[in-house]
Amino acid sequence: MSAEKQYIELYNSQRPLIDANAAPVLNACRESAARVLAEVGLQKAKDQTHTDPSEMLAADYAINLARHEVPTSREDLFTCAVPEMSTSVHFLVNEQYVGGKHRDNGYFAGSLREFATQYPDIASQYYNRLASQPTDTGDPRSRRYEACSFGESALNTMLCQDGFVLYVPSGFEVSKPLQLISLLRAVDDLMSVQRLLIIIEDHATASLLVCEHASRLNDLSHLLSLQVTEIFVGNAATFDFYSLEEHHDLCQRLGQIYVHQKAASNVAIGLYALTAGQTRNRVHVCLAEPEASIQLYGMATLDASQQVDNLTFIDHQAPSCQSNELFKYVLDQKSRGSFLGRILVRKGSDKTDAHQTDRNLCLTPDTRMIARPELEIYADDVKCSHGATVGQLDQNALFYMCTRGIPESEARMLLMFAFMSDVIDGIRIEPLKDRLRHLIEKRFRGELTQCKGCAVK
Amino acid sequence: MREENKSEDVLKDITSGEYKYGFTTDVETEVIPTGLNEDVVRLISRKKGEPDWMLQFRLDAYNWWKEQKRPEWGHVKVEPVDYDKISFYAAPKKKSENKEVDPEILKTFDKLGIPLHERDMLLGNMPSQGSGESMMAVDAIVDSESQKTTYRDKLAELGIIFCSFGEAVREYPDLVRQYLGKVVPTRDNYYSALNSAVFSDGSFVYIPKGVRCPMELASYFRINSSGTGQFERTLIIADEESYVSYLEGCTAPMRDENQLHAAVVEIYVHERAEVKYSTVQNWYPGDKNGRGGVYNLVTKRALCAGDYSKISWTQVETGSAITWKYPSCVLKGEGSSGEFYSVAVTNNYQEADTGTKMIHIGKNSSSRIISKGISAGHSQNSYRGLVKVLPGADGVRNYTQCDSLLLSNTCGAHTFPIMDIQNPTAVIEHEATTSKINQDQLFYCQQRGIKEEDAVSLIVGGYAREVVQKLPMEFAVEAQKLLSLSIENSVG
Amino acid sequence: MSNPLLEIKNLHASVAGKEILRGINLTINQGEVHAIMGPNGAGKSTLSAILTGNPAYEVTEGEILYKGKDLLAMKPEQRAWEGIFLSFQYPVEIPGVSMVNFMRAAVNAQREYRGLQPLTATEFLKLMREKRAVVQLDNKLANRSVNEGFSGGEKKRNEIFQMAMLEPTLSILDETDSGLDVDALRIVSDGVNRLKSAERSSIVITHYQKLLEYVQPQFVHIVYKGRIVKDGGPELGDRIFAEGFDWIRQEVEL
Repeated sequence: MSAEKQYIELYNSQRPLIDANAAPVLNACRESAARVLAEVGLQKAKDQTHTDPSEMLAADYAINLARHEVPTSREDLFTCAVPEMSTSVHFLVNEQYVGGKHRDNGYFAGSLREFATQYPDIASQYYNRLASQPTDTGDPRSRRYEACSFGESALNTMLCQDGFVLYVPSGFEVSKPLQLISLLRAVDDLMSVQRLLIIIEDHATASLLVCEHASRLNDLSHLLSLQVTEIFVGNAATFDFYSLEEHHDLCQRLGQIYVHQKAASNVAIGLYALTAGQTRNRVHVCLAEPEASIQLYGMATLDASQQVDNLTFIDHQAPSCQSNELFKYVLDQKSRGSFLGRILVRKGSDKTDAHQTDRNLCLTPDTRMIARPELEIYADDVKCSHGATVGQLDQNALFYMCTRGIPESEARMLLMFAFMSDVIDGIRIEPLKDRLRHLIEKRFRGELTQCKGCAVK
Repeated sequence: MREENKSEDVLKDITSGEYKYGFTTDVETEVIPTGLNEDVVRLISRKKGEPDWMLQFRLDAYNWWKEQKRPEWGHVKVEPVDYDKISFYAAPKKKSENKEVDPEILKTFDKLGIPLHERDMLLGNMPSQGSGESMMAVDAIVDSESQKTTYRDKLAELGIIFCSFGEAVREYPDLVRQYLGKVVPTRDNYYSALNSAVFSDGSFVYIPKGVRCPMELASYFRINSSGTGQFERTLIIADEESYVSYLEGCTAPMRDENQLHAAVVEIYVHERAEVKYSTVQNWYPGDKNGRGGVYNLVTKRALCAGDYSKISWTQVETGSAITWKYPSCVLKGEGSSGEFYSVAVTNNYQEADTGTKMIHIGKNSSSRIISKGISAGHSQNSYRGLVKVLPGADGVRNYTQCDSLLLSNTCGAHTFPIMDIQNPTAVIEHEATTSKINQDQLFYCQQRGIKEEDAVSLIVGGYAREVVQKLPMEFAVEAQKLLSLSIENSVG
Repeated sequence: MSNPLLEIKNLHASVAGKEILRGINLTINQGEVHAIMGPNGAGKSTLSAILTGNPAYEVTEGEILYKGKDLLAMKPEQRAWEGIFLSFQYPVEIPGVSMVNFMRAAVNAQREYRGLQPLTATEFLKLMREKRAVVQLDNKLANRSVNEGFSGGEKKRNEIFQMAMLEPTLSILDETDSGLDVDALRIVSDGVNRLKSAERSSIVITHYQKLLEYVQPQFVHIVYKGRIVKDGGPELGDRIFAEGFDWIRQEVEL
């Protein structure tokens, strides 16, 4: 049986249980999601990436539809590698919101299920609005680049019961960054169907750091995190979203981030993979109104057999928008990476400024890097560029440092660290910047192995 | 001095904007019935007097092809081709038994600026050229048959074989058999299989060991008949330490129908040999409303088999309704190098999806890609490329630059490169930019009194110069003119 | 008897919606040299952009007569053919286009407009050689792409070389002296002076005294906040160099 059929059957047989443990707004979207899933299926990746969603989802995972409580101690959660960064810390264990520090002073941060129950009007206005509709690029020649992810989004929508919501109403400024610690934890093979919904209304400001962790309770159980994140940013609103991943080798992550930006909004997205099992992130940014800007950064430091694929799609739909993308990978041992970045500038989107850079270091003969930057442009008054490089450490610089008495290993570390510096500089939360520098240094020094590094055991 | 005369000619010629090569030649032509089946393949083979192994090669290709589906990838809208409406063989009838070329054909080539007399061997109407006349041998192909190959005897003295493909099959069967389909296997893709089944004529070149070919070799392709396609096949073999520069030009009459051109070019480069392959592609692009024009669906590939071998592709693509071609380099030899220089201009409703593949297999192999796309009108212009470094290929270097220039707000310019790197010692760089014509440059020219249209032409010429100057002199002039003509009336 | 070449009347202009010129009035007669001075951002370069028809600038009010004709109705290239030349403050680089081709296109377009035959290659190269000597421009520069890889000083000399080639009736030198050393400045000024005649006029926009010493304008105008706030002779220039613009500011603000 194909993977999607297995899930659709599960859904059909467990519908009452799924609904009972969710909220009406979430339940209302399931039928159409099931139809989409049946129609488009879980397609095989054809785009020269390493991870294959249809294969990843083919395994027979348990899903916690009955919402059994996962035994987790507070101590486990609080040993995240990025401590004390925020006064507002929230926790997800698998997909389930298990609480956090939140003083309700004008905005909502908490459980998706709770939000959808308490504020059904707002929730239904936004929930599943981005993840359910394929983009029509307006040109028949243009491939439905993002189409193959809609099966995954539909699967998430069909089964989704909980997750995290950040809702910041018009004009409100959340001054301190929020932190969401997301922990994968199970004794047996488990799929977490996780959902994030972020709504930043007009002129509002917020920033969110998501720390992705996974407990390694034994050497057998595989954990798959199927994530859908929908981000709505209103007129002249500002939002920063950083995802820091420290997964272990038995983890798989299928992440989809949809961003919708209104006029003059300003968004920063950062995807930082310190350690990973198999990760496939898709980021779909829609610059829907004039003068919106997005800064999309990503980084991966990989070794062993880790695989990270980042697929980004920035859709310039309106004039005078800016996008700036920077992705950097360091690949060691047998790791594999790919970056597929597509920029679409639609007809009439004049004064578009779109730039993309992808730089990669391969350290051993067994690594493999695929870079695929794409520009698709239907307007004439634009400035667009992309640059991609694959290479190794500068041997001259290495030699120069050695002649000054710096040991080679140290010199290599310094150069790798320097290589990553600009992708860290893009972070707009100072304590996070410092923390990440520290973590990357540890990572390069080999002090941050997958098990030790993830403070959560 | 020479350089300047060249540009003067160019500037003088930017006056008439229409496709200049759209006339037809009135010669008696033999056209076989339309449609494609096994009998047609046999008929073509019989007409060409081919040996049995050649027929088997064709049949094998045909049998595979008929099972395949038409590929739909690429950023182009290709209307399905009705193979039942195409005649797969058309050839001007010879006037007499003594193999004389029909005077009408000679006139045609004269009109195209390709004289088929060995004496006045200058390409192009360039009376102002004073010195440095270079020699050029020409293979002239109309529809399915080669009409004449000049300088054959002179080249034969050096052991160089330059003849039509048909003759090569008859006269050098062992060489053809040894190399045919080695670089582009029959089953490489849909159109290479189609070509392998029905290919008509083309050029065959063999340069023996250690020989530098003393003149440019040129093939000139012309589709004349209506309701036909052209399926030429070119095979170039450069033996050890040899050198050849080969040129290819093409034109077709203006017709309302879409004519199919599905060629295969194979180049085999031995140790320390070097091949330069230049194309000025000017098939009929269709009219202002996108009606008619040639579908140019071509497979071109060079295998740098020997160590330190070198291949350089240079192309100026201004014609065709649809262009779908990726002249590629398989860099197998140690220290081998591949280059790809391309200017693709699209105007009106033309669509071009072109680029290259650099497959690095050999150690220390290097490649360089310079692609300049210029889009105007309602056209679509895409660069598509692959740089692949296999695990054993240590020390590979690649530099890629692809720039797109937009001349209208109704056209599209796209860049689809892939880098697949499986060796950590590779250094791969890719840069791409897309922008409209620089308004400061335009105003600067206008302030000096240069008309807007001329200023655009001048700036576009400058933009393409890096590629155009890689062409041999005579082609460079032709290419400059074509560039100016192609973008004419594109300034809104 | 004065013969007006250029008459600017109540000129208002803006760039990107921002008003820069707020009512300029200026008349230049044949054979006159005018200097325009003023603090940064006063609108000096905007004026030169308007005179040459730069599409990035918009005239919102007023008129300009050149040889009695409506200048604003002319395209940039037509203004060039009519003899208006701008030495750009920031000359533009045009990669791949050689100076020779560029200049020939310009010279022959002008000749065509005046009903003359285009120059032959030999005539043209002879002209290039002659004019190059005027500004001591290296032969090598003439064979390179337009302004590409030129130093700041070379670019400015290249502007004067083009001016010599095109023999304009009205030349506008927009801070041609900035970034030049003393020797280069003298070469540039010599080039400008050689073109002086009873028919030709110039507008010199500058911050520096040296160029005015060499070129010797009869009239000096001070532009401030988009208007000409003071007219005078050479002595006005001297006072600006001695005292700066502060006294102008004070006078105007009062």
